[in-house]
Amino acid sequence: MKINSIRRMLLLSVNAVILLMLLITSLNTWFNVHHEIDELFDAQLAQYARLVRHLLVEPNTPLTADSDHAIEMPFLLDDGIERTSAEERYSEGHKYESKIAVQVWHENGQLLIRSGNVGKTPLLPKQSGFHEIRHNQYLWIGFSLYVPDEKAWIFTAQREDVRDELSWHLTLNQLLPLGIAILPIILLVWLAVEWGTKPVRELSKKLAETNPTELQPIEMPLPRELKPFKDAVNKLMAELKAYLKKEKMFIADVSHELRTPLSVLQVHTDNLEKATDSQEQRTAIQAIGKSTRRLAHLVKQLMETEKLEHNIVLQYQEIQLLRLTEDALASVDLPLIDRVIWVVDIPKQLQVRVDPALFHAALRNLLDNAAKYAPAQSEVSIKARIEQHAVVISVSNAINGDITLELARLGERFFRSYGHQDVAGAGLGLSITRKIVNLHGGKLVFSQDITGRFVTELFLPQTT
Amino acid sequence: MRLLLVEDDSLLAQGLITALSRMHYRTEHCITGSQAIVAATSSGFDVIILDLGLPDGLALHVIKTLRAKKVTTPILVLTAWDHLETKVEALNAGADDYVLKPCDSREIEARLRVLLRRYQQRQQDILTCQEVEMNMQQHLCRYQGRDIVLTSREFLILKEFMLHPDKILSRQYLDELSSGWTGETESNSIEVHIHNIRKKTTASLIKTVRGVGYMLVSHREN
Repeated sequence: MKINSIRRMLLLSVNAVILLMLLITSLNTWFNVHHEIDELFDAQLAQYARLVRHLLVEPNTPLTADSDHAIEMPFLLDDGIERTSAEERYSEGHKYESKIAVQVWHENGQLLIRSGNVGKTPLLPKQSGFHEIRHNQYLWIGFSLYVPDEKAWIFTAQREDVRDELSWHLTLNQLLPLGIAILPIILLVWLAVEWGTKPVRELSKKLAETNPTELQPIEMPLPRELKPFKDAVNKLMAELKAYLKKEKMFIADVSHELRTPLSVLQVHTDNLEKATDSQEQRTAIQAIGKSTRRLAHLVKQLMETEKLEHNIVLQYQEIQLLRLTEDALASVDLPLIDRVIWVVDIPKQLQVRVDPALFHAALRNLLDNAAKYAPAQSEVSIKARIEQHAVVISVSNAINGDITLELARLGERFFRSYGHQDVAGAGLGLSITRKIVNLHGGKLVFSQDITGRFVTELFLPQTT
Repeated sequence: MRLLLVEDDSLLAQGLITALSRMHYRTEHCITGSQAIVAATSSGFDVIILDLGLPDGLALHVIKTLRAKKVTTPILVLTAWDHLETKVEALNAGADDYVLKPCDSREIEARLRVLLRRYQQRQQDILTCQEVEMNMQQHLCRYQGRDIVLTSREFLILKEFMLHPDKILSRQYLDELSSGWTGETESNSIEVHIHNIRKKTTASLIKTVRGVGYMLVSHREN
């Protein structure tokens, strides 16, 4: 069942349970009281019949067959007004006397005694025991007793509504305090629910007030039950904040990196428009072409970076490193392949456990860089070795100038060696490679050896 | 008028130099912040156009260093960083204006003129000396109310004189202004350019200070 409001649900359910309990208690009380009254009155009827029998068997006054001993009933109108018991005890008798009847019949069908509130027809069947009959539109409980010595039937009866009334009064008197208490109980339940759910409301208010641009963690005293929820929300907000920060930085970096080639396009387009000779035109067209290619390359690498920024699941495979390297080499642009001399020294049997597609991209970036930054027709060497549970892939190439001061920044997003600004690139290749290697649990180390060669070592842990 | 452009992107720098040259500015180019500090402290420039993201780090330290070294040359920051904080930081460090990439070369030139006006405490882009009137915005020159046609270098040299009236400009300075660091060679020497300017205006406009250089005379000597 869907719960729309905990407060309403608690209020309704607790109050419903209380009311249900009261109802069950009331019904139970009513039935018990009614039963006890029935027992009491039934016994009284039986006792009453026996008393009459005693009077018959041992009479002080002999009964004659033709006498009609109608027992007089006081005429006391039941006006429905509630009076005290003392007030209801009139000198003439009790108004309830009309609700108790007696008849004594001879076996031959002659009525010997009757109370004034019954007629001259038999009130009960001639069958010993208790009976329920309808008389004068009322339900009566009666008791028939046969007196063999006198050959007479004694019928005593009592109106059922007397019992109901009594039961009702007794039950009501018992339930009245409970009924009066129900309102304060409901009020108390409401207060308790309000008080109990106050932290939930405060937490909800705090959450609603949370600024999506700031995402500050929620700091407020909360009951034990809500702490895991608060911790989960804070953890989620921290992750969201870190994610947004990363996204913001990425967008800022992208925006920054796009602005320069766009400026180049704008300035050279303007120059082209105002060029006065063919040399100026050529220069502008070449610059526009270069900048366009740079933009296309940047966008392509940004897409790769974007893919890696999301938590991707690596599809590991055991694969021959040599094959993987050859594949990566084959995907390098042909002019770059021809630009340098490649020397590959990777043992054939060397296997690596990697995500082939991603690792292929990482290797291709390394080879791409080596070919771009190495002097033309120089040697680029690709080697691999095993070192303490790791496969180390090393790519080395000659490079112009000393880049030792830049080594720490290599692999930073958009960083480009300032001595090699003329080489086309967006400064994302090594950043992408580093990310892929890190995803594999490995690391990328850059160095420049004593001969001045630039060496990239890729450490890839191998779990067997 | 000499500008120092500090920009690590060679394509952009090349394009800007071409555009500014068309607008009669002599632009020298360097790539790093340290190169910029050496250039700006050792050679006189009218404005420095400085890209903030340089290979040797954010160029804020360049601005701070130059200001600490009492270099008062106006600095126009040219950058791709669109952060309010960066802009404020650059201006607080001592930059005079801020242009966000991608930008039009005309906007850069307009801002350069504004900076120069402010630096030279002028209200407009029209310079007047004797009967010569130079409109720096429209790159036009008039003498006695008539338009005169000047070559790019003649315009550059005359503008320099008109920006610094009654001041001696050394031959070396004018050479540097005319040919730049790259030492672009042209058959015409400074003497030839000055001779041409005198011919197109009046001989009394630029006076030769023997052994030192030349000076623009703001008021005709009677």
